[in-house]
This record gives sequence, structure tokens and C-alpha cells, in this order.
Amino acid sequence: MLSASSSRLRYPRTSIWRLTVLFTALSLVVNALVLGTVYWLTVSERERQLQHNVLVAADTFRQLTALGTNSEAGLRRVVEAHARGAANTLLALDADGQLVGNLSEFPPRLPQYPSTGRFPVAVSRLSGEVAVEMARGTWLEVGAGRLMVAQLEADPGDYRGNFLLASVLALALALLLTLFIGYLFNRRQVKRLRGLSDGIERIQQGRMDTRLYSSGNGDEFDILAGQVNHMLDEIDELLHSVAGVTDNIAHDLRTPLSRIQLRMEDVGAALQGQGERSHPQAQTVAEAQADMQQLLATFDAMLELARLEQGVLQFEGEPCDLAKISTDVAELLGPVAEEKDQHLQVQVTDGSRVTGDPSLLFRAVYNLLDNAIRHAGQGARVTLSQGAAHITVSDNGPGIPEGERERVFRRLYRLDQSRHHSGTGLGLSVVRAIARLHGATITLTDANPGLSVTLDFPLEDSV
Amino acid sequence: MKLLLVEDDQTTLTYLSKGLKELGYATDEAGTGVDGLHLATTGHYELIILDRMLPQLDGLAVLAALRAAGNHTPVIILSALSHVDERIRGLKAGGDDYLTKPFSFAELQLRIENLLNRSAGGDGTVTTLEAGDLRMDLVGHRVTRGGDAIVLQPKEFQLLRYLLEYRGQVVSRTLLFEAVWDYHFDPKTNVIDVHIAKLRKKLEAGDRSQLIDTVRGAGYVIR
Repeated sequence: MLSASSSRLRYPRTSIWRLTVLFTALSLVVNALVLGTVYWLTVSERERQLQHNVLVAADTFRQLTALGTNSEAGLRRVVEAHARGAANTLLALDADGQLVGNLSEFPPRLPQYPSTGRFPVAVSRLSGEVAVEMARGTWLEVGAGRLMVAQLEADPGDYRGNFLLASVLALALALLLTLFIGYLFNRRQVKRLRGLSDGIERIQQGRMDTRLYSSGNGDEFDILAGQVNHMLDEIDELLHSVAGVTDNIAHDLRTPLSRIQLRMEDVGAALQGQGERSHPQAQTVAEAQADMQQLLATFDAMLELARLEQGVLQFEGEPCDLAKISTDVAELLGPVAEEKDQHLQVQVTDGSRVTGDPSLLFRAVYNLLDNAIRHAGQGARVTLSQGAAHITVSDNGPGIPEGERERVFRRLYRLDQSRHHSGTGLGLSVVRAIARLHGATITLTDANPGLSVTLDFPLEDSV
Repeated sequence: MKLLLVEDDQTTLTYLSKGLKELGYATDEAGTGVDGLHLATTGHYELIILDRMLPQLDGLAVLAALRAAGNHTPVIILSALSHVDERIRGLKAGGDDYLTKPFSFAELQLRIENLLNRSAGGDGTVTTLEAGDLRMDLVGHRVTRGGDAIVLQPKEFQLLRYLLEYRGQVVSRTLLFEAVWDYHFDPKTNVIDVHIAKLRKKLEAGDRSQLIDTVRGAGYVIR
């Protein structure tokens, strides 16, 4: 009934991994916002600065012409002088169809002062190459013509490209870094969790002496492990006191039972001593003794079950031959099946070794086969088959309705129809407890018709 | 032959000593572990029957002390603890046999006789067993009755052999099961009876006389 293997921890499904992915996405968004702000503050600030410079220059010329002190020729000289000496400033005066300045053509579709616009300019470099650069400028009316004032943008394309490249690289690096650190975190946490989960799995299998690992640095896992260990200590103490109680019950009840047994034997012997072998009282004494055997069977099974289920019973495992155990059980119960005209079929496979206690395993298989023979009815077919790591007992009797299957493991539970059968009502509970001690699982399935019970043992090399 | 009984329940002690005296054994009795250990180390006994749970000094502690002192008197442990692990602990501590309470006196008697025979060295090698007109050839695995061969299954053969080896003694169902199947487990049902019935049918087929007797509440015997 244990399904621990299906709930093992797996990477993509851990909450830590989901958090890592979420955190990575969040950090990407934050980084993108920061980079956007930086872009806005640097690149666009440069453009605003440039526009400001252009407007100031244009304003200077406007005021110069507005004063009216300079003649048209004077303005032309000023423009020529400025244009010759400037590296980044572009000036063009278009008056009477004559163009003065450092541009060969007056740029078309340029907005008038105080608006500015961008336009391409062919620039010849010192090396002689001609490149196209962008300039920002405006124009204004001056006396007889139009004056254009503009400034070259300093490598604007390159700057923007570099910025974008740097941004993408930074974001990619951040992505890799958070994912990698997240993976390391995840691995560490999963390792700790797996340690806890393995420990709990061992406890589920009845190894109550298991304690969860604690790293000693007092983190949340240590606190959790400490709490679980504390709980286990208390359970352990409780179990041992329960074991002590059952031992005391056993002792207190067995002493009077011993006396009854000895007294009855004494009476029986005295009656036989009188020479009357078929004395009516001798019959009564024998029946009373048989009743006591029945009482003891239930009593023993309950005590044994209590110990088996508590996992108190410690045994030193030894290699057990499932084939031999199955054959021995079949040989013991074969004649009982024969008495009921049942057909008992036995299939065994040699060479299967399971670590455990042969007597306990014998009892488990005995209980299963005994149950099948007892409940399958007259003339039924009963099969005991044993493989490398499993033992199956099936019959074609009335079976167990699906809804009742889990309940048959309860102590003293019996299906209504089987109340009249003899037995302690503890058989399957004992089988399950023994199976648990051996790390085996027990499964009840429909044999169509009838019942099939399978014990699946863990494979030797996987232990 | 003198036996030592160490048992804290007075009633059980009385019945045991009464029964053993009727069988011709002399007995000394002790009610506590300390008294028991004192008697066991000072007196000379053929066999000790020791209760597992005793006041003052636990039965296993008595046994351990005895064995540590080099005393190898056969010991049968009587115990209210029936679990496999308790049984193993009892036998590991140096017990020669382990009997769970409540037990039948017949069973105890049988185990006492077993142990006394064993410590006396047994009867050497036996190749044939006989009872009336029944002959059992242990080497050739053949059974005949009045010269007629009887075919037995391996387990039936072992059951008959055990009954013949303890001819005249009552053998309990538990003892038969443990001897033939070699598992520590008491089926507590009539399963052994079914085997004996089958064996009887083969041995007593036709008008042959009854060979195996049933002793009510105790077991079986070949007289």
C-alpha cells in the first residue's frame, strides 16, 4: 500500500524551482526598466542638449540681425567665418539665390525656428571617405534670406547601437546568473528535502529507529527535522511502553491460562486413570481444551500483530528461499484442500532470495493459502504461484467485493458471509504487518471470479 | 533423576512438581530468580525448568549467569512471551528449549525426555525403526507393513519417522509440525490432524490394526 516511489522529488516540479523561474522573470523586468531609464536619461538628454545648443546659436543670429547693425554683407562674412572654423556647427545663408556657409545645399523640409528637425549630411572625413551623418537644426528669416543653423550629432547611431547591445548582454547575463544560482539553490534544497523524504520513507516501512538528518546550522530544515525527531522519540517511547503493556497482559493472562491447562490435563488424566476411556466427562474436558486452543489462537495472534505492527519485533534478516517456503506451505495445506475436493495448483520458480525471517514469511503465505482454502468453497480451484520477487494466491471462490477490499485488513473484520467460518479474523492483518516488515506490498485483485492476493517483495539488488 | 523448577506462580509450580513426581523425577523448587540461581549453582541437577519472567532476577539473567559460570545443565525456558524474537533471545541466552505458556504437561514431559536423551548421548545410528508389523527403512526410504510396501509422501515419511523415534511417548501437534516443517510457528488448527488422518488411512488400510493413537488434548502416540 506504500506508494512512496511515485511521490519522489523531481526537479521541475519543486516549488523552489518555480520560485526561481518567477524570480528570474522579475529580475529581467526590473533590469529592463533600469536600462530604459538610463537610456532615457543619457541618450535623450544628449539630444535635448543638442537641440538646446542649436536654438541658442540660432537665437544669437536672430538677435544679431534684429539689431540691424550688420549689413547683409556683414552677416555673410560672419556666417562664412563661423562656418570655416566650426567642426560640428553647420551654417547656411540663402540670400538672393546665393548660398553661403559650409553646406552645399539648403536642407529642404526643415522646420522653422523655434522648432528643430533632423536631416542627413554627407561629411568628408580627413581620410577622404564620405560618410552620412545626422544633424539637427532649424532655420530663421534674416533680412533678405534664410539662415540655417545646425549641429552634427556625435555618432548617434553608434552610441544607440552600443547601448542596446550592452543592454541585451547585461540582461542575458542576468538571466543566466539567476538561473544558475537558482539551480544551485534548488539542488541544495532538494538534496536536504530528499534526505528528509528518504528518512520518512524508512520510518513508513516500520524502521522506527530512523532519525532525520540535521545539518546543525539551525536553518528551517533543522527545525523541521528536530521537530519530527522529537515526535519520533515520543512515539518510540510510547511504542515501547505499549510493548511493555502487552508483555504484562501476556504474562498476567497466560499465568491463569497455564493453570487452567494444567488443571484440565490433571482432570483428564485422573478420568483416564479410572480406566474408563470413553468417560463422558473426559469428552467434556477434551472439548474445553479445544476451546482453549481457539482462545489462545486469537490471543496469540492479537499480541503478535500488535508487536508486528508497532515494528517492535526486531529480527536479523537472513536469506529466505521463497520457492522452499511456498512448497512447504503447499505441502502443509495440500491435504486440507484435498478434504474439500479442491484443486490446489502450485507453481514455483527457483533461485529467488528475499532477506527476512523464514518463519514469519511462512506464516504470511500460510495465512493467505489457508484463507483461500477456507473461503473458496467445495471443489474450488486454488493457485499458489511464486516468482522472482512475488507470491500470488488466487482462487475462483466468491471473492471480495471491491469496496470491501481495504476493510479486510482491519483487525477482526470479516465479511458477513464468512462469520460462520472458523479463524481469528486477524489473518490478513498479520500478513500485511509481515509484508511491511519485509518492505513488501500486498495487493488484492479480482480473479474473475474469485480473489487474487499478491505479495510483491523488493528486488534484492535494489535494497 | 533430579530436576530444578524455577517458577514464581505457586499453582503452576505445584502442578508441575506433582506431575513430574508421578513420572518418577525428584524435584527442587524455587520461587524467585535469586533462589533459583543459588540452587542451580550449588546443587546438581539433570535439567532445569526456568520461568522467563521472575521476581528479583529475570529468567534470562539467571540463565546467562549460569552459563557464564560454566554450568551446562540443559534448560527449558517457560515463557508468557510467545514472540519469535523472544524465543530467539531465550535460545541465544543458552536455553535448550523454549515453551510458551500455557503449555500442556504432556508437551513439557516430551521435551524433558528429549533433552535428557540428547544429553545422554542419543542412541547412535539407527537404520530401521519398527512397531509391531511396521518396518521403516531409513536408508532406503521404504515402509512396509506385514511385508506389504506402503507408498508415503516425503512429509508423511518424516511424520511417521518422528512418531516411531519417540515410540511410546505422546508427541504434540506443535512438536510434530516443528520437527517436520522446521518453522517456528504454531498453526493452531487441525492441519496436523489432517496429515495424520491421511497417514493413518495409508497405514491402516484394509483390516490392519490401528497403529497411531490419538491422545485427547495432547497429541499422538505409537505404542
